[in-house]
Amino acid sequence: MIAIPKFLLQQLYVKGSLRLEPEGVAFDIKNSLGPGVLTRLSSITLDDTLFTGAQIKLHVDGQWISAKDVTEQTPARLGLNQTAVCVLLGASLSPGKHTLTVDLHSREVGQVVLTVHDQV
Amino acid sequence: MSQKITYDRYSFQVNGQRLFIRSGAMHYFRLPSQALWWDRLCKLKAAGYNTVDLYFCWAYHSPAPGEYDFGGIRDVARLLEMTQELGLSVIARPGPYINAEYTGGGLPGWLLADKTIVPRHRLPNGDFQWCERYHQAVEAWWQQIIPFIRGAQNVLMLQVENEYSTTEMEPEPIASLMTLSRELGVTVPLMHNDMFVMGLYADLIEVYSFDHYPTFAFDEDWRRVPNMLDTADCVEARLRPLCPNRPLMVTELQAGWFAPWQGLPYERIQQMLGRQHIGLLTRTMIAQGLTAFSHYKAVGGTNWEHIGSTETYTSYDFAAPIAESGLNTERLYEAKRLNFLLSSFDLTTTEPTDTPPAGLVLSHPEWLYRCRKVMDSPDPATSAHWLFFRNLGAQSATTQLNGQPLTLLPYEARMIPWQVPLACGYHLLSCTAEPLYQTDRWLVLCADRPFSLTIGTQETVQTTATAKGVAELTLVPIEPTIEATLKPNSTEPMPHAPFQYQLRAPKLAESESAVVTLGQLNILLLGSALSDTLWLETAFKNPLPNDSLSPHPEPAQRIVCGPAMQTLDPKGTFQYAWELQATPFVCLDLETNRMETDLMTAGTALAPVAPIVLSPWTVTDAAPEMVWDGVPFQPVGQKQKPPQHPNDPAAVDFDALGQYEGVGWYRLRFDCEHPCPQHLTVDARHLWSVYLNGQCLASGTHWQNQPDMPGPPPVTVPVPSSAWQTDSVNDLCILVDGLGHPKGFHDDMQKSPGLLVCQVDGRDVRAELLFSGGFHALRLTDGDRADYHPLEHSPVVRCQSTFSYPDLGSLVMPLGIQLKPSTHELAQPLNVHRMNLYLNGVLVGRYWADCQAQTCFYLPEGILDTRPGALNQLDLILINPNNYLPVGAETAKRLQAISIQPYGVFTKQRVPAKLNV
Repeated sequence: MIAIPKFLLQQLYVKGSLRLEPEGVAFDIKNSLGPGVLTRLSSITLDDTLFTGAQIKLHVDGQWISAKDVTEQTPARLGLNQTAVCVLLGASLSPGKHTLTVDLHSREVGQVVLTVHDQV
Repeated sequence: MSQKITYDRYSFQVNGQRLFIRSGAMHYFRLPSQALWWDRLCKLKAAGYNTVDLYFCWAYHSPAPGEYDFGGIRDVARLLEMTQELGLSVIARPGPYINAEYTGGGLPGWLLADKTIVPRHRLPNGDFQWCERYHQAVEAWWQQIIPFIRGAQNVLMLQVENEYSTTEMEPEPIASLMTLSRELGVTVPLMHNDMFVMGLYADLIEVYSFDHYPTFAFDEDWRRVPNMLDTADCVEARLRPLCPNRPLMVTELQAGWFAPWQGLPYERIQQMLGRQHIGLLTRTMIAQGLTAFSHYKAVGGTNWEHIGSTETYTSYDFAAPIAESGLNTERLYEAKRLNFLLSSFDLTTTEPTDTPPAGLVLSHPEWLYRCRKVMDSPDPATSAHWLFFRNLGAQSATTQLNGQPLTLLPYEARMIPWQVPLACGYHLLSCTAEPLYQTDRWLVLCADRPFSLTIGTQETVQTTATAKGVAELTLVPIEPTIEATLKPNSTEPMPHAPFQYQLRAPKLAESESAVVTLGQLNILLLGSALSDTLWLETAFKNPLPNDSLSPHPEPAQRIVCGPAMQTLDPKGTFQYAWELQATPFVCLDLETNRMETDLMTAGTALAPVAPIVLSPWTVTDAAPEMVWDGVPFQPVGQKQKPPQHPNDPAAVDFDALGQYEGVGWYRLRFDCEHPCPQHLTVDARHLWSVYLNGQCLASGTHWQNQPDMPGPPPVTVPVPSSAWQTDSVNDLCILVDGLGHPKGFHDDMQKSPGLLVCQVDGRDVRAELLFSGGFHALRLTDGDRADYHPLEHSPVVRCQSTFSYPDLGSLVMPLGIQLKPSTHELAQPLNVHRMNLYLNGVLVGRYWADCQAQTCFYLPEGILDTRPGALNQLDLILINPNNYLPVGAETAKRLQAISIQPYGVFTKQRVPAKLNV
């Protein structure tokens, strides 16, 4: 795994963006590093609950896609300073502190595991 | 290190003189002869680079702990001398880690084999862990290599580590190397390259720099990839706050890309990148205020023997401006245009401006990408600017610049001067073409499209309104239709240029040229082909970098346009390589203003070149484990093992056995009693085949082109009882072909090639194996084969042939072994799965049908004996585990599909002697 400094990774998460929406729990990722090509969104863990594939919906570059459809052949692009919205379908959110872990692959840096904490 | 290297916000300075660093990377370890070093350095110099970026590769010099080799093709002292003789500066990068798609990222195999070492003080998950033993090993390497670097007079800076980071960004790894550098006497600035362009270590390192590769996936056209230039476009905004008193620099600016197994052939990558990519990216960086760049790589090379990392095949051409074969590409021509411009116009001290300069009127301002004001102009009365135009569309674009058309081709950027003072004392008030070069009497421009320029002078001057040019010149052929409308125009007088002259030039045919004069300034217009093949001849009076900016202490003495390549001989005179066809040329003597145009057709230029003939092939079986005793197998338990596998004492991979690379044979000889074993289980990196008593039971691959993906599970195969011999000794052999160590960028470089698992009916037999490395068939003579009983069909065969190197005279003709996979002969009946190609006993090619991209293998001078008449020997080892090859004439006949082919044919000649001064 490439050594991405944590402080760079944590810049990706938009602090305070964790929220409950009608379809589930949502949060924002802002790409402050450089143009990226997402080739796999393996999983997102909210506290102790794992979400994968069709349980995750992404809003990238003006359209909604399912995480299961993000592959090497059908990647999702995120330009510099663009924001993606992640929705964990059916998830609930209680007030308090939460931990999010995002496990993804990008064409540029390979596997990226991002763990952040946020307060609702 | 006697030069004083300083820097400020704008640029580096050498002994107080500003320097725009135009560097290109060259891997000497991929060029296995000093003659190749000289040739490629000459070509870098000829293309206008003033600096060469050199990785110094630890693994290449240190085969064993405490052993170092700095002789012959590892003579870095001689390499550095060559750079000085050519007036090139050096960016020195001694690692310890270099990546470079070198096996193990350039860390020695013996170091990686020691699993108590933490390479780079970094655990596989990216966390920092200080490793004193690693630091001691690095210190020992630097104590060897730094004195060579310190002894060179032309080193600009020294890079510590390479693209380094940890998850928490601890400073110790970088800080310790900085301290070590100073302790070892390094006096030049210390630099580190940030691969994220995010300011990593900017607060620690002296010279912050970064790497930038926006294009590395070739399954789509970069021209249609949105956001490709996002990072490049934010460089100045992002990094200037971190570098208020340091120049902006990019250590590795994409000039190509490496091709992996299963990737594209380099010819295709060259085509896909095109000249637009390097031109667009480099000009964008200059528009962002960078005054130091290094094209990575500028020179291609070869992964000869086993120097490549797991993912790369033999060629490391890199789609570089100078190809692996040494030929120039159109990408070099594009880089050369930029380099010549930057060598003759001063862009070292500029600041961005949000508003265009006063007086500039654009019909389509959206094409203006960026504007920079010259801050250190020798003429304070001017308001010199450089305007950067960019067209990221698939169609040409034209804007009117003060009423004159400025055309941008698709995916093109152009650097356009505005009120820029010329070396002759006039001013280039506006221009809709990017200048190629200037001296104090000449301005050279490419007329590949219509353009206009306006010259400002202090007084009226004589003009020549036709293209007859300077009176005493003989200019043939003259372009009579050129519209040189030179006339004074003082409707908008300027204090520094009250008189203005405008030239409107049409597009010239690619090999046409023309000269117009305006007082003491001659304007040379060149068609596109002559612009690409424009070469400068500069005196080599000073062995140190002679590239300081205006006024030019050693300006070009002659300009020659037409030859495909320029080279230098060791005495500093100039020679050229002309394509083997009638080539128009222009030769301009800048001292006397004498000029000549003609066709280069003299001598042997148009003579046909006789093909190189291979002697008839001899084909023999070559699986030593199966056919004779006496091969020096050793029990793996008797191999001297370092404490590298504390958790796996039975490890018998290559690292554990001290081999580190290449091919290995594992052997188990045993009597078989009833009941015979029923299963074999095997796993090995990276390509393996299992033979029992000469018959292949299985073959497999433990390799994938996705870094750090889990490998396949071990393979268990049933063994029929008929395969065993109950009346004699059974011979179980495993052939393992390693592809090197991972380079350690995304992956774990301590993953060794070699055997990982070997079980007979579930019982681990690794400790009982014998081991022998390499293809010993290459070293055996007929005398060794006294008890040899040839096989009619074999899974491994050796094919031998020879060829004589021809007396080429003045021709330049790099050679390659050409496979013809599309022909019936090689693709079907021979059906080769893998093939190793040896030239004079040195591995120069690896063919792997399942992952093949390369069908022509360059024969590097040095391994290739280029003395006229010298006999060169080819050895091919063909491996076909599941489809045995016929031994003898049948296979030999099919090998006619292999030939020796030139990459190109050129004649090396000086320009006509009558023009010599």
